[in-house]
Amino acid sequence: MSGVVSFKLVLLGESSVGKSSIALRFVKDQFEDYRESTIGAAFLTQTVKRSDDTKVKLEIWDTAGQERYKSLAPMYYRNAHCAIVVYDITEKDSLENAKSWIRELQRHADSNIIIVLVGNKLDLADTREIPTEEGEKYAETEGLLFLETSAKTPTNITELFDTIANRLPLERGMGAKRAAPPGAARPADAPVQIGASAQPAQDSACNC
Amino acid sequence: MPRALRSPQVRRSRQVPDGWDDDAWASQSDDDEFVARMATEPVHDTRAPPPTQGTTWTPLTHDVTPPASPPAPAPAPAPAPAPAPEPAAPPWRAADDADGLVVRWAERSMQMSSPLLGAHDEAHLEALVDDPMRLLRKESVSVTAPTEPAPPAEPEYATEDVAQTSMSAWASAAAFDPLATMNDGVFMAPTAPPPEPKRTVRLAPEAPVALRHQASSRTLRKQQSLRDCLASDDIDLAALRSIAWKGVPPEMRPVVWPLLLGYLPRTASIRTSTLARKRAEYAAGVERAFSRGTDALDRAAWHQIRIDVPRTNPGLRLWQQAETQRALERILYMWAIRHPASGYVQGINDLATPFFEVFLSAYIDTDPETFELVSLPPRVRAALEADTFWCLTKLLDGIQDNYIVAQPGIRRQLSVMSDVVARMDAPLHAHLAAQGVEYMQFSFRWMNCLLMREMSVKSIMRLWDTYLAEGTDAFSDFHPC
Repeated sequence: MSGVVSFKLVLLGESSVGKSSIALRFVKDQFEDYRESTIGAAFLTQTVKRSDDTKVKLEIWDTAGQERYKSLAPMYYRNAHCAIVVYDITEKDSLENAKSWIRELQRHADSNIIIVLVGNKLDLADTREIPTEEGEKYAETEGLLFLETSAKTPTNITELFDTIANRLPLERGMGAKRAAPPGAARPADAPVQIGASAQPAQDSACNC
Repeated sequence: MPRALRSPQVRRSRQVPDGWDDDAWASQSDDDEFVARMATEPVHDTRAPPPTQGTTWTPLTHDVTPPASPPAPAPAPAPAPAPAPEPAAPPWRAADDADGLVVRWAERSMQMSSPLLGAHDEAHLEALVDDPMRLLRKESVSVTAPTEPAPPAEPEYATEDVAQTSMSAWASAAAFDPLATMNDGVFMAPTAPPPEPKRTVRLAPEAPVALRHQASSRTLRKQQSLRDCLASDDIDLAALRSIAWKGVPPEMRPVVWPLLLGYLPRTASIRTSTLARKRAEYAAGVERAFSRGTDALDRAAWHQIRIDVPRTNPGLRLWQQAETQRALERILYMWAIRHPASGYVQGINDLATPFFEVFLSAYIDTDPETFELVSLPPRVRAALEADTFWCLTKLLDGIQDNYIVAQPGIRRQLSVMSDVVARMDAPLHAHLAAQGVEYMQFSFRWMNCLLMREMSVKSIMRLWDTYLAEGTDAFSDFHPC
């Protein structure tokens, strides 16, 4: 079968900075000025070709930004290979929020996690409150990747995910033949094992 | 009772700002207690502003109509378990009838004039605002007439009584007899003596005919039993719940939902006065909260609400209009500041929309989702907004621990759902476990937004008919099952 390796990505950041818009632009090449707020988290996947011609599948957890949902975040960044922490270049506070996410990731996420700091809404650069250098400098200090994007225009969205895909170490991905770690979604081409667990299983698969 | 459900932490941590006491408010519409309070309390006490506020309160003329039987000052109701001390007498109390009122939001609500409506429609709308029960009587003639084996003629449904509806009756909410006669969808000038059909506001005369052809006799029987139930001076809520469980006809929801939620009293004699008072309370609260401009609002709550309102139902025209969005902002903000333990949480905006659409449907004969809200008179909009606020509050009373820190209500519901799936579909449950999929990952939103993101608003309304019939606990206990 295909040797597509899967990786788990998580999008974090304050409410309304454009996490869902970045994901939607990347996965479906769509954009809406007003999207319903994300509740809990949304899950999307996209397969990309790396520069070495191998394909990797990105499994993206797009999380809700409101503070109240913060307690759910560990479930999504646990075992994640990459975290994209987004702020809005027109909202001063959103960078502070992004920094707190980064601190949390540095403390609690997998030590090998790749963290990308993304300043979104580049199309609104006229009303920018955060200079490029500020994000850049912070990212450099913390050893993060950094990019400014616009999901709307779109700018730097494919570049963002291409960069990530090329940095992901293949040997650490979730191979089709390997058991998925807890919390990770099953690769699409992996066989579904029904009845392998302790639960008494019937002959048939699930009814869904 | 929703209050019994709340966890102790919630109740302890609740510090209602501005001297508003949530429990006192909530209890007012619980019928029995409410009747007792109404009999002993001056009506204005309940919307008393805080004694410590620095601003000067302006009396609101909006819907402040004394109850039909004005209560005399009497000893405080001892049995009422209101946990907070009664607020001090409002500074504006003596000036209740004062002139020179500042024109503000709530007072603009008084203006009935709308360039898009004729005087007749306005009179009709005004009557409907004051007494939503008129909705039912309007249609009863056409619905009961066709196939039913001659239901006993009820005088209040007789069309000729319409002529007796005088201007004075329209003008004062207190004068409205909730059982006053309504015609069958034809509205006329309140002052015009000849009951000459003018134009329809809600149901075109043909509409009931079309309905008649589609509705089975069984449906009609059910509708009639619902109408009979609602026609009582003291509505049997148990009977209403049992009927509503199987679904409420859309045109009756604006009445049935608030009755089931305990917002509209089941006792006919206090209905109009209660509605008037609750709307005035809401208007006073909005006035108080917004009187110092949006800079004085709670910054975090207001910021989040401002972000979320434009992306509430982004595909529906109703929700993209400035008028609707401002109303939703006020509703959410007022709820948020009165519930600081949770505050505004994303998803609550969704929960307000079915109420808004249901109440809006009472006043219009087109699809609420494409309706231009500005074409309604301000007073109707204000009533719609206040009713939505109160019903949303009632709904959230039962599920507040869904929205406090760590969202224990949702976690509990997910565990209930997981148990149900394990019992009903063990292979599926095992499959999810084997794949490392947590219920939280795919069904969090089902609980947080009560399936509003998964279904159309119309389907949600049907679902909520049953939930509301089950009681407000249904949104926490019945929902995950």
